[in-house]
Amino acid sequence: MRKIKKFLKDDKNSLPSEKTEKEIEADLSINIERLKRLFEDCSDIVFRQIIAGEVEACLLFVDGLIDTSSIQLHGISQMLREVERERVTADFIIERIISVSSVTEITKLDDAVKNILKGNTVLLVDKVSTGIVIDAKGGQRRGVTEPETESVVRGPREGLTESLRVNTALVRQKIRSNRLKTIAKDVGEETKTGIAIMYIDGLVSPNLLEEVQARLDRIKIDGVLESGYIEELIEDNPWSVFPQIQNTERPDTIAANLLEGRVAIIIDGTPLALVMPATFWQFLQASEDYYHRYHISIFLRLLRIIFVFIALTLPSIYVAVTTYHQEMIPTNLLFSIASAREAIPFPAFVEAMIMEISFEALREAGVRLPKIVGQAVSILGALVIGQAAVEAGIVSAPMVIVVSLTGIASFTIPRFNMAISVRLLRFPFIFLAGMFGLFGIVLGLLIILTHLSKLRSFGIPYLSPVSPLSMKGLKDVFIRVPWWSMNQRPNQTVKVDMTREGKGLKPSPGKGSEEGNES
Amino acid sequence: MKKIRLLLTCLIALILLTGCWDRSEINDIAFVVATGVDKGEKNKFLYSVQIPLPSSMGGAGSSGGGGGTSGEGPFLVAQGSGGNERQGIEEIQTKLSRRIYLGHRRVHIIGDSLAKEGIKKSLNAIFTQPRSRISTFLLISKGDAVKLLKTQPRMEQYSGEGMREMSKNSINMTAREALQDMNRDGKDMVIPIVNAAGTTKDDKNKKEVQMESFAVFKDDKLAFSSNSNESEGILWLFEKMQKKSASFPVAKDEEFSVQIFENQTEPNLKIVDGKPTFLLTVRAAGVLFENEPNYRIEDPKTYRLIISKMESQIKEQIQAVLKHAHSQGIDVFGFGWYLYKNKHQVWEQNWKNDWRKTLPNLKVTVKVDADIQRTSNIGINEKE
Repeated sequence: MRKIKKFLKDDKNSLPSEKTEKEIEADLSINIERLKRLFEDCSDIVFRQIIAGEVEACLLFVDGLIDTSSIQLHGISQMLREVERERVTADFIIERIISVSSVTEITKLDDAVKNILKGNTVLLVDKVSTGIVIDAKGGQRRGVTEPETESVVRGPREGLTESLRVNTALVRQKIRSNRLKTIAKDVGEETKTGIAIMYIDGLVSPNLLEEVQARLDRIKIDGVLESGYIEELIEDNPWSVFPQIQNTERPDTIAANLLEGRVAIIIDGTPLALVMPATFWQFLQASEDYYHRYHISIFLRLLRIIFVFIALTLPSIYVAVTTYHQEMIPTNLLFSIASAREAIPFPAFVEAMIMEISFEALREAGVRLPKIVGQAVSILGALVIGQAAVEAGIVSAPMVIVVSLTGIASFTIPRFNMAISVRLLRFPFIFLAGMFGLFGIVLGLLIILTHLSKLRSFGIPYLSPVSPLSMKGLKDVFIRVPWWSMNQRPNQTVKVDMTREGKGLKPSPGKGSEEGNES
Repeated sequence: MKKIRLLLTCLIALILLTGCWDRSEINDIAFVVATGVDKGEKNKFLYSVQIPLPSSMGGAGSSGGGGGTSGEGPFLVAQGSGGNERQGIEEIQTKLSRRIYLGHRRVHIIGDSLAKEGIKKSLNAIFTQPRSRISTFLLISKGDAVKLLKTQPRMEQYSGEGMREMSKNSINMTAREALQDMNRDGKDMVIPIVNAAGTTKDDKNKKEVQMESFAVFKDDKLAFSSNSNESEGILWLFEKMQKKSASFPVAKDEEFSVQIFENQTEPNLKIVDGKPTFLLTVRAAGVLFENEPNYRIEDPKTYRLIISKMESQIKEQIQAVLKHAHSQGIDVFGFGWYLYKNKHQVWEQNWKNDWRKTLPNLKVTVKVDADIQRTSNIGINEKE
């Protein structure tokens, strides 16, 4: 126990880092020598020295990360050659020579290193004591494709990519407002992963923004390769199985959340962005709920809530009822279960565990395998677990139905991370049911309910707006009211600018001819 | 740290040491669907249970299925005797490999010879046993109860289920209601009677269950069983005629049949000379199903005639049962209970003690308000 605690405790010793506090010298050769020492054995760093007439200069960049065509190497050297030696200053070069849109000046050698590694190009010129950063990032990145984990029938088909810039641009394309702010940060001592905190000024509560930034600033880690790193480092209750931060691949989901006063963190190198604060109900909502007409959205949301309970408790209820509370089963159903179970050698609890574990194994096997082989696995699994096991008398047919229904139920949860929590919690529930019957299940549910009511995500109660109850918030929890009635933003996140839409938006025959004069 | 270790130990102990005691797999339980009690030798009860056999009920995965060939159904009837019900069950248990489980008993049959001596004890056994359903239907068997358990209706897999369905469509007499009636002042129980019968006249096997009459009780003892006329009267009294049909003669050898969809019975109290008299208003409405004489019922005159015949038959049936019961001091409808509820103080002071003696002279007027609201097909003559 103590060892585990020690193991989990974050290491207080900060990571060793070689910082070069040195300024950029006027002498180019000194600078180059220092940089070369820093980039020793980095074969992908290119030191492209240009000697143009009287001027000596050096371009530094990472091979493969820059857009060579936009740097116009040839043009730079040509132009440098034509100017007199004395007129060459940093401002001059920025203003007259380089035609790339984004150019900045740096004075520290450290900044030069940072920029080179970021994929920018640094131009050092002899006799000039500043470096010039040319932002001409290139490199190979995956294009914008359909988000695979959150596909929709109706709705935009574009998903985030691994590139931070593309991702922020995708969100900006949705919200063309100067109130949409993007704060850039670097996380990771070694990886220097770029992240962007996005929010809408005026909608987001300042406390939330402050808290998010403070938690991000606290992170000291060698590398951030995926949003999951950050999620685990900034969530409220690190011991909880329930996700407290939502992740999404969809720019439209991010935009919708920003409009509801939440904060999004986009991380370079992963197509999954984090959205916070998150409530329990958010994980049961899909972006499509807002795109389809509200009738089906209401139906689907209620269906999902029922199926969350089924996914969580159905196998355990089956175990509890068949081993402890036989009087609860309708007589005829009992006899059909009894006749199916007649030849089964295992108790219901063992039967349930066999089936659930093999089902999880099957799912895991399917996820990791190549797509072509994956199909074979599902066919095999369906045959073995479904039919053969029943015919061989190892498991009963009702148990197969229960397990497959549970499986289907867990697929109805739109957010994968919530589905995982429910999947995991199913096993303790089966244990409790096998041990204490329905009392165990009720006990388990009580524990979970207490835990959920205690849980907070960035200060927002996890079960809000149901608990604490807010009638206005219920418009968008179990049901989704039509858009003409969704006149206010959710009050658990937005505190100031509540109004979402104009009055009297409900379409009716009288309003059509006025051409929007009414407001 | 110590605390955590202690807590962990307690938790593990809690999980490992408790629980699982009450665990009983479905495969280890014998589910009793029907029980029967008969009078045995020397003040003993003869107790019998009907247990379906899951292995021969033909579920998926189980071998076999359906046991029709040998004439034996997919169930087992076991008998045991004892001074009380529990003892009887214990004796049966010695013959069975699985634990007897009464949580799924649907019907409880009491043999008529036992019923004549009182069913209170037998009823009590239902209530005292844990996991016993008080919604178990009560039935009285003509002859031995075990005979009924051994019947094999071809419609159902075991007779318990068949009898349950029939009781549900009859007056719906459960153990709970029987107990309530027994403890109510001025109300006596009525329990359906079942007997083994064949489906056709020449069927000598008598494998089916028939439910055609009612056992009328005085306190907890069987007083008489109703004839067919009285049975229908009981159904009218208890508002259970819905979806059943009533036939009545309108001319010589020619009858009308009406399927009833509305049946209400309402007592009205009038106290004359300090004595209660009742006006029983029965409302009946139905659909004409059989029109033997091919009358035109659109004709108001004919209609009135038919309705008057129908009303008089209902009235006669109700009066038959009331008269028979009241003559023996049995309050079959529960007029006394009505007084108990509505004129409680007078009931306590004047009527309660000698209610059974006043019953034969109780004046009950039956008023029937019948109606035929629709017809099905019109007769041949009308089809032109």
